Amino acid sequence: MVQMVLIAVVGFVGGVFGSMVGLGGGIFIIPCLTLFLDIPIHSAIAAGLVAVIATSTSSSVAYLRRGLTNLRLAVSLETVLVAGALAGGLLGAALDTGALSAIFGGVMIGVSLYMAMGRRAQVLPPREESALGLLGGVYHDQHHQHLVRYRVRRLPVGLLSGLIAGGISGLLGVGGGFMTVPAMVLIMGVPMRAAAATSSMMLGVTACGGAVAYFIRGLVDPGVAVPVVLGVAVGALLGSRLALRVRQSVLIGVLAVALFALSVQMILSAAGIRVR
Amino acid sequence: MTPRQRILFWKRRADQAGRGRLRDGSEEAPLERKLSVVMVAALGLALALLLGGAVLAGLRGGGEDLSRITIQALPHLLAGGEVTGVLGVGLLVVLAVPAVRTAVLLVAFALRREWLFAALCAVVLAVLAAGVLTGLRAW
Repeated sequence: MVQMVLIAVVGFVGGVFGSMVGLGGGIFIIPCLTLFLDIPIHSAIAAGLVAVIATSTSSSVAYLRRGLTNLRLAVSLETVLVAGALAGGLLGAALDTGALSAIFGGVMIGVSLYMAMGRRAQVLPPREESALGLLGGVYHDQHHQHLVRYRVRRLPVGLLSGLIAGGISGLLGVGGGFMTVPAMVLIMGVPMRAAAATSSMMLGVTACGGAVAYFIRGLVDPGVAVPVVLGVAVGALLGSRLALRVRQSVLIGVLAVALFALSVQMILSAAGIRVR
Repeated sequence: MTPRQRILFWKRRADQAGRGRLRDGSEEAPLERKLSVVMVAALGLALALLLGGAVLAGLRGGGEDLSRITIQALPHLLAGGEVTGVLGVGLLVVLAVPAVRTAVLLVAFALRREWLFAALCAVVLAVLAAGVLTGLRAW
């Protein structure tokens, strides 16, 4: 019973944190379950994938109601994300995921430092309201009390990033928000708040395939997944509301720290070094 | 809606939300609202099943083996009135949410005659289905 409450607390913290910056929370939940609560890695990954879907659903509700989610952009990126995830899942057995983790971790350290230094792409609102384009968006920034209008730039590069993010998600069994959020902010010129909301929406679809595969194979342990999902659902609801009240720069800082921690973890894992 | 109307609409909604008075207005219900209603319903159903299952497991003293859940075993577990069956259905509802909301988006975009985005939703659903079929065949 105590174990289940602790698992739910881990899910709650992962949900709060993940939903604030557009991640699924798996990067926090999986290590905590395995390192501190002695949950087998397969059960932890399966619970993490289900948690990503729960985070995505729970946080998307708040973001959708406030008009932060860019549905057209989400649908456009989802096509390449799911295709990449399927390809990554199929190719997973043939590739050296350790080497891939190390390379990817190195790249992500650079991305996290770049974001932390505040050298993110400038979001320039179009002069004309009609210049938002097919995928552009508008939302009301509750923190600054003004309207934010943005046009999506460099779509082909963004789609390519989505394909790579999906492939890595399929290979490593993670949600993919750690790559789609920086891609949307740095490459496509989407404001952090809208990027986090849109990424939250997309994460569920990316994680869905992997989670179903784990379920079919009987690897989803309800004793772990159920408390995680219950904790995550409540945490994500809270996190998505908190995200509306904090500064965009704080969100970017939190994301940068999370990316850095994930990158170090991936490199250590690729080198065969366990934290414990 | 013109871009100007869209901006004013979201500003009004955000203002209402900030004061905790988010509710249906006289305007045409936007796609985002319909979608959030679907997701709240699905999440509510899933959480009710999971919470109900957890409470049942607690009442029965936690003697059931919760680790033997598969799609193939689910009908038998439900027929036998086992808690694992209820938890399994709850988890399946969670897993189904992304596909359901993509299907809702497909219909919504098609009704608005935004064929490009409707087609993209169809592609997402097709790839998800391919993934599930691949998983089933591998199993």
